[in-house]
Amino acid sequence: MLLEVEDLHVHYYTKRGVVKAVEGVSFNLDRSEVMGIVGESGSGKSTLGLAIMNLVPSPGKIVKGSVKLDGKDLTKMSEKELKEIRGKEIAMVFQDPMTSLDPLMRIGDHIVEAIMAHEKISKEEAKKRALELLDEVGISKDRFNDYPHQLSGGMRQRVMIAMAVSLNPKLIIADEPTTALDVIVQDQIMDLFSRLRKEFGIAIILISHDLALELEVADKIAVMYASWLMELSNASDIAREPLHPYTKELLKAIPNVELEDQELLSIPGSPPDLHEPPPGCRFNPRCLNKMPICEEKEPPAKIVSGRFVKCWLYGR
Amino acid sequence: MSLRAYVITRIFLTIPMILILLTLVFLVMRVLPGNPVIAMVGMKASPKYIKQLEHQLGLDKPLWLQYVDYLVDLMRGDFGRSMIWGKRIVIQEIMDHFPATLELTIGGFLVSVLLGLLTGMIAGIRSGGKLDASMRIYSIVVYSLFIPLLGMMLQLVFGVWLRALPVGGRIDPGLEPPTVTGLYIVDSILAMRLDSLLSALAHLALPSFTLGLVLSGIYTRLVRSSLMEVLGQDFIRACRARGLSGRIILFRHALKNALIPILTMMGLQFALLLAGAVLTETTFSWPGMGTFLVERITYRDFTTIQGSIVFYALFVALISLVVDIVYAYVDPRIRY
Repeated sequence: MLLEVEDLHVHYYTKRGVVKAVEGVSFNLDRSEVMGIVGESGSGKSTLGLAIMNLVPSPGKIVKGSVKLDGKDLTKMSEKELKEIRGKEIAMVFQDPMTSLDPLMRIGDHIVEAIMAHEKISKEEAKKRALELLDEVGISKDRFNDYPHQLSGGMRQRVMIAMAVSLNPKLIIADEPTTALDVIVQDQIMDLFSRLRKEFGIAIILISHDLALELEVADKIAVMYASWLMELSNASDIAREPLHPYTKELLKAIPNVELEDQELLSIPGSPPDLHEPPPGCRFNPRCLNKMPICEEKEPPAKIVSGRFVKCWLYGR
Repeated sequence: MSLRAYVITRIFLTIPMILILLTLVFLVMRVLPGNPVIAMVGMKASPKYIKQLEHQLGLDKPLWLQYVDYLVDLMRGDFGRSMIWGKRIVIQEIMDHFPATLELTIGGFLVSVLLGLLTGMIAGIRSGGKLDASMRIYSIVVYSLFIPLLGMMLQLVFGVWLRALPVGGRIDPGLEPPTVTGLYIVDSILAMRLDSLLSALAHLALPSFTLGLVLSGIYTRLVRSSLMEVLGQDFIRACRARGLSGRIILFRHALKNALIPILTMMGLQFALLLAGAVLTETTFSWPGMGTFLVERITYRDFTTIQGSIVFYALFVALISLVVDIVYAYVDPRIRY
């Protein structure tokens, strides 16, 4: 097993009180496996992504649980040990390519710097590698000396991906990598991810609010709601037979291009304020299958025919 | 646009700017109440004598012709002669005093930037902590110091008690290096005179520190807020996710980005210092432009005042040109 996340809890200590952004999330990821994490804004999916790298920004903290990469627990590592892991073993691609590059640095130098931070090679060698990588992600080599503002959003995201694969990591965490891009570029970037995964055998965690996109590329999908992991199973199972009422609603909300005049469906209500989550199940105010117990007690985590689900519908 | 093309364009854009500045100075000097000739010879002079002097100075010519004369003279580097002090040549008087002010300004500027950067960086990195709070207190305290008082206290401690540093003047008498730039430090180095250099540096120490300390508080605040903003940006998080060391992130990425807005401030501050170091000059009997100009203004030495204003205007235009070029060099987004 490449990555084992167990009972992970991340809290933000804000002035208004403690926000529990990730609560009791566990999952495993194999080599070259693609996992999707899907959820609405504020569901804790981005925090989860950062927590895997032990990079939760202050005032956030990992308060409980473990993240093991090849058996080594990242939550117990020193900043110095983490530096060796970040970028080299786990790489990250962020949501907004417009702001994820240093505006004062040439894109080629970004890649050279990333390589040289982890490998003791000469600048010339690193530059040669950087040029190859640019070629690999489909950016012409004469763009090496361009500054970020001279590139389009899609191209910048390619640069971010080139940097992410530059050290041949075991895992890439991509946090909404295509949200800031238009649909055509989105397709190109997703194709690039699939190709890199096949070529280099990299496992990918794809964080997105777009379930349709996840269903296309992911092997398995984790559904998050209000900092809880609600459902986790194979993408095909989720598409065919979603277990959790929330997942069902999400599936219904995917627009179908073939149907004309289709009304866009949305889930009524909005996610809870995590300063004061509702008692019982956090989804209960919006749930169509609500039972009395849902308002009283937190639902148990159940394994139903090999699939994870956190819902009272599946018994105690 | 390449950096070179940008620099050339920017230099050409400076020409109309300077022309507007010169025109403004000309008009203001003509519009201001008070006849310079009367100021020169006094109310009791005969009208005939006044006419004669006006003719001599070209003040009876039509305004546009005076304007052309003024521009042509300036282009030849002729700033006219003093109306009071035995008709001394204005540009020479400026060159006698300006280097002293420039040297003090550079000294004070360097001290303020260094102190401000250091304290601002500490505050920005440790934002919210005790160190941050102390740096913020530092910035308020030093900014509210009164220059003559601070100067005198430093003179007392370092000059009188410790006898470590001179309390006034630019250099020990007899050690003046041969004049090339007028800046004693530069001239000493050019003349390879170590004794002159040390003396000039020692004399510069207290006035620069006085001026620099007071102004460093602004930079503390600016650097702090700018650095905090940059440190919160996405690309810094992306740098951390790439496993870059804290040192590289701070110096290669964060600080460089944080300094961009401060660069503009530095340019403005430098220009302001040039004109505003009067208090420091008086406290340390520094023979600079400040004391010189104040004296001339009291005597309504119009040509000297006009010449000095023009000189300052040209110098400030030059500084803003330099700042813009540095700006474009650091930030590629400006060039394109």
